[in-house]
Amino acid sequence: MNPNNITISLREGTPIVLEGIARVIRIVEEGLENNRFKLFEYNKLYSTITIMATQRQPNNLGGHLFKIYGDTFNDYIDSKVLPSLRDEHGNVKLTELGKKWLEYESITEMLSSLFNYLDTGFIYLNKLPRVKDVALGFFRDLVYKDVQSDSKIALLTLIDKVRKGEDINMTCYKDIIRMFVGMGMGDMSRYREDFEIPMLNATAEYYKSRAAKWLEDYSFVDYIHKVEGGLRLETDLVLQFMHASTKEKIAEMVLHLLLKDHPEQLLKVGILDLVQGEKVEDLCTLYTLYQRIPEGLEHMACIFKQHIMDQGAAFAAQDEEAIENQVLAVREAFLAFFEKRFSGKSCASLLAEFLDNTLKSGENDDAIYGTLEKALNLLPYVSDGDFFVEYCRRKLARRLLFSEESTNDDHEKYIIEKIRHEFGNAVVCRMVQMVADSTLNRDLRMKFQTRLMEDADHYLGFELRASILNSGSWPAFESSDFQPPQEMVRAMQIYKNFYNEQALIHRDRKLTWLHSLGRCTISAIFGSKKYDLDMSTYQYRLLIKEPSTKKIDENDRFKCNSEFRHGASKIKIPSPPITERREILQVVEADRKFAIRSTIMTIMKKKEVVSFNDLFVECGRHLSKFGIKVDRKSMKRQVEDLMERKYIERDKLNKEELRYLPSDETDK
Amino acid sequence: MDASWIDISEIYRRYCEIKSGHVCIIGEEGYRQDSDVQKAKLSREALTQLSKFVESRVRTGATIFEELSMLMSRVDLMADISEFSRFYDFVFFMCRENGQKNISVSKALTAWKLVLTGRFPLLHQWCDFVEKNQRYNISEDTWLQVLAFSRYTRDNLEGYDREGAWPVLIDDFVEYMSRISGSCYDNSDCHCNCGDPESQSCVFEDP
Repeated sequence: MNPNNITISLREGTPIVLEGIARVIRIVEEGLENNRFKLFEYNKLYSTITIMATQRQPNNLGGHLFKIYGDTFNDYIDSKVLPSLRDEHGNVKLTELGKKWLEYESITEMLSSLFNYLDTGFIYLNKLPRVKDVALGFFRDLVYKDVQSDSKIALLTLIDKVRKGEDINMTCYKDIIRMFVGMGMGDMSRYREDFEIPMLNATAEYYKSRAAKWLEDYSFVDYIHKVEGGLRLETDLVLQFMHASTKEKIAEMVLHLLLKDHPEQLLKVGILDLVQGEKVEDLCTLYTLYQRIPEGLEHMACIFKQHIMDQGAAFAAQDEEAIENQVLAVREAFLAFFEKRFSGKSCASLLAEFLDNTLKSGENDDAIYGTLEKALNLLPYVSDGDFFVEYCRRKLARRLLFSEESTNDDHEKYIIEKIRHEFGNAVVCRMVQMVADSTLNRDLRMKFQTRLMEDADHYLGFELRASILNSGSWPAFESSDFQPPQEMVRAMQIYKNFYNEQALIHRDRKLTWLHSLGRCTISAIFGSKKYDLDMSTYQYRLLIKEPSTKKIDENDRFKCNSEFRHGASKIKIPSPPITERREILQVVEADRKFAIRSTIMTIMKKKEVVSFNDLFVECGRHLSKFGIKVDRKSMKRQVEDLMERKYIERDKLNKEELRYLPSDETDK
Repeated sequence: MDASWIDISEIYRRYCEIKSGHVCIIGEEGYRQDSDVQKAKLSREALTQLSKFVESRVRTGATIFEELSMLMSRVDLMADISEFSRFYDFVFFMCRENGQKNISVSKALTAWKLVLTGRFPLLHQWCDFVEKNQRYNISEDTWLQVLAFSRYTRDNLEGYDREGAWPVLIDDFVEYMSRISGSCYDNSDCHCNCGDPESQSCVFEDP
């Protein structure tokens, strides 16, 4: 701060400081880019103020600086802020106030950083408020107190006008909101109490009266659209000028007021009308709205379930064939409605998830078998069998890898049997192999342990549990260029040697280490307590992150947090969540392509000449045996692909007919 | 046949010969008509030969489209439908590069604009659609079916059959057209600005 022990006297320093302050005010008011401080000018001003504030007693001039600093803001308010507001009214006053606040805020920012050494010296000793708060305090006492109520009322009037349809650009009142926020001096209290709460109250009043009126004036569908419109209007308003934190509050309030108390009977009739009229778009709107209020979807689901049960009961009265057709029709409609358009989840993924949760529930055997059986009875109704199998396979992989102790082979085999029964042998062979791998691994691990005990050279200093996965059967896992620490490298080498010594069948296999799946438990002592930390191999070294946000950037640094304390002594550190939906989609789509092509070729080879439509029907029938449902378009794509590869050709005269080209004819 | 400059008319003449069955393979005159398979094989080989020859010939600097347009002015394409179909096939044949089985979207667009003007009332919309939506190359089958499509549909899309075996690109086009304006096709005035109405009315008969 003052390495050379220079002292600056009051007479020397004051003119420099005053000149500097005047300069700051000019910069802010005129906003001129070229009027900025040159670096050396700023440095000089900064060091002058710093030296004056920190030089030793009796030369310390902190008190004087503090006075100059305070007077500056006092004067500024008296001479600039108040006069400009005195003669203005209404919205003009509002924008003027916003402008003045913005200037005041900038001056505060610049001067408080110039005078920041007062905080550690003079202010600290005299227990005064910090420089920034001093400046904000003046504004609060001299300006804000008198204007906040009027400003709030003016803003609420404007909002009301917007709601009534006037086209007002609210973005120019953003600065007033900044003032409310800024006046909280670091927290949101003033914004909340002086603006947000009154605003929310007014909004509530408005929508309460709307709800009653709309209910009277509009049909169910129009009402829903009104709600959607209202919600959009309010969130738009927030985005235009309010603080972002208000958005969720206002959305929640609007939806609650407009939907929660919607008469049960009207809702029921309304929803069923939409369902029967196949108004998918409107139902989507309804879904997105109800999704946002607590238990909204459950409520909708309940109504819908009742509807399906009623339909079912009605069918039951008819003869058998009619029942089957009707039920199938309802199911088709259900799938079309709910899988494709709404939640983005399919029956396939939901059922796989349900099975996974059941297996992990830890209930007794009878209960688990009971639930599994019921759930698996639904298999014939799963429309995308290949998706379902892929989801199941991934869930199985995670269970076998990460919760091996609690995995019950019999349960897994039971599920696999059921799937085999429904979709055929080919579909499940990879899952069977996975379970077999997992059983083999247990033996292999025992052998490895014995082996380690026999040979003193192989002392590892820690326990190594490796799993061997046959790469074709398990999902493709990410492998990376992770550099394991020295002791792990050694352990890996020892394991590799051990593995190669095992039975002959292993001899030609290549081992690839998948560190992305690795987990490790390390013992750590924090304070006086010993903890077992279970974490992924990647996390092995990174224990604390700087800066401590949830997102990870390239420049972030990590270090060990020695202050860590926790009640439990065994802690599992979770890996970042993975989203595999997209990946599954790609894998299954690619598999499906081959399945379609090979089916087409099988049929073409057998029939040689076949019409497009017959091919589609035949192909669809064949694929549905594997639970694959294919639309016309994706089949056409594959036909076109095969045509381009000259495996088949379109008949020259009848474009609806396809012809098989024997392979010796194709120009390879 | 050496690889010196040869007029496009000559290439077209040979192409027509091969297509109509008078195959002539260099160094191996004549063919035995013992089976269709044999015939198809020979004609394919002849086409491969011709395509290799086209690749290797010395270019005059004129683009393929300039040559084609010159050819169009010489050949009497109005004579009958099959004559034009053959020429249309030939355009695809000439647009291929390096023995590929398909042609790039940009080449296809230029070629369509060149040869279908006045013959495909929806040409303008079609090209617009393909330019915006098609990312992959145009296959031979799609190319050929576009001609059929242009004949079936005339001024409106009535001749299009949803259940038909049209290529996906054409299905998508019809869907796109019905989306952008539902009822427009009933009104034939809408789409007459893209061709010469006279040639439309006198050249083509409904197949």
